Amino acid sequence: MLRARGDDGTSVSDEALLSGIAAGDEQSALVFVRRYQRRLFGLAQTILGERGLAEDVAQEAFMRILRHAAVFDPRRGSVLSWALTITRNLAIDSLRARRATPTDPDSWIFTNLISDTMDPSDAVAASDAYSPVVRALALLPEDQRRAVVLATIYGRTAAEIALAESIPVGTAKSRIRLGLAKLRASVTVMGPR
Amino acid sequence: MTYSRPPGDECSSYRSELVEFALGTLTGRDRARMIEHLATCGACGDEVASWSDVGDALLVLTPAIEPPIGFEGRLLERHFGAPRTLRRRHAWRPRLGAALVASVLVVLGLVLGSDLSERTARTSPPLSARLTSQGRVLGQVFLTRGDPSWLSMSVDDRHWSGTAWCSVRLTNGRVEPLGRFSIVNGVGAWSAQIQAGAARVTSATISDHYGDVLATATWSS
Repeated sequence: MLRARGDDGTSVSDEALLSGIAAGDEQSALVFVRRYQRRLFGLAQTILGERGLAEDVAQEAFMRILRHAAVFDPRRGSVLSWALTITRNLAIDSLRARRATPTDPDSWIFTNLISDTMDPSDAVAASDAYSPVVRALALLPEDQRRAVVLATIYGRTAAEIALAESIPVGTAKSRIRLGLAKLRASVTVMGPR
Repeated sequence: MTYSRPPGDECSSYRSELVEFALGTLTGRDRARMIEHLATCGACGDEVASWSDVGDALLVLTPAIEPPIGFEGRLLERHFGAPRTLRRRHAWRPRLGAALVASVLVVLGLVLGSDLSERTARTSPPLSARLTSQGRVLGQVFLTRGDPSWLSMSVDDRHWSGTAWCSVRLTNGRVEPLGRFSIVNGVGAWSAQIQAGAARVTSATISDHYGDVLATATWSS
């Protein structure tokens, strides 16, 4: 479940914690790590499928966040999005460095996000604020949903998706774009970040 | 953020790659070419930002998973260096809570030890040992001798959160698992029966998910 601000027993905003971290305050770092360690580790584990490797990636992601806390720009998105994007990129880099296959077809996220019977209420991380995205995802045709999930979460290129799905690259690009366009409408409806 | 103005005709050669760029899957020369274009094209920049918003929204849907025990401790030591004294307001509260819980468990162990062991003549005072890791004291362990014997443990270390596996080593070298316990925000306390008897225990250990030893308490005899 999405960890709302304050679930860690504090009412300090993410932005205030980053300011504290930038000033070298260890307590701010501790609260920040406790607030988001499950989210970052969860994403790394989802992409990599291996706990040891996921811990390395989540650790490195936090190290970058702690080192660069001062440069976070709230106009470019939420702290959570920033942190998850850093984690995702590191996880994908790690996969590519190992030339590993990123997607386990049985993994929770893949099965649930592409399933036609996906129940929005079952989406582990989906808070009410994100349920429009879950619903929009559930309404996508399965081929578009697969392409969108592979590209956005697992970092697969259109060429890689085309190879995996035995379709032309142009078709893979179309599926990603069409699927994302439908999801974009739901994100826009969610309002400002 | 505005999505109303679509990229102009001059942007047509980039349009098909905006999504891939936003998702971070555009590589090499194509990526470099796109970065150069975006430096001067606000419309394409807005388009990229809107696709990025969608990607961000999907990342949030991934499940939250408890990391291995010791995760935050390893991270903070890596960032700040050697462990420091926690500057936490009301930091005494968890420690006091852990101490109280441990005391209750020890007393409970004694009571259970005596109530349930009519076969034994008396229950001896508990043997205590410090739970340590690399020279740092992280908690306390008590062995209550009797039939049955009990082990009670308290942990208070800000670096840990998650699940720990506890076991004891016996005089014959055999390791006897006692169970799995939770450490929440660095504080945990638990108690368990020792089937083999306290007199045969030489050490107690807690380990993480991988079986790596986190801390040990040893009795000299």
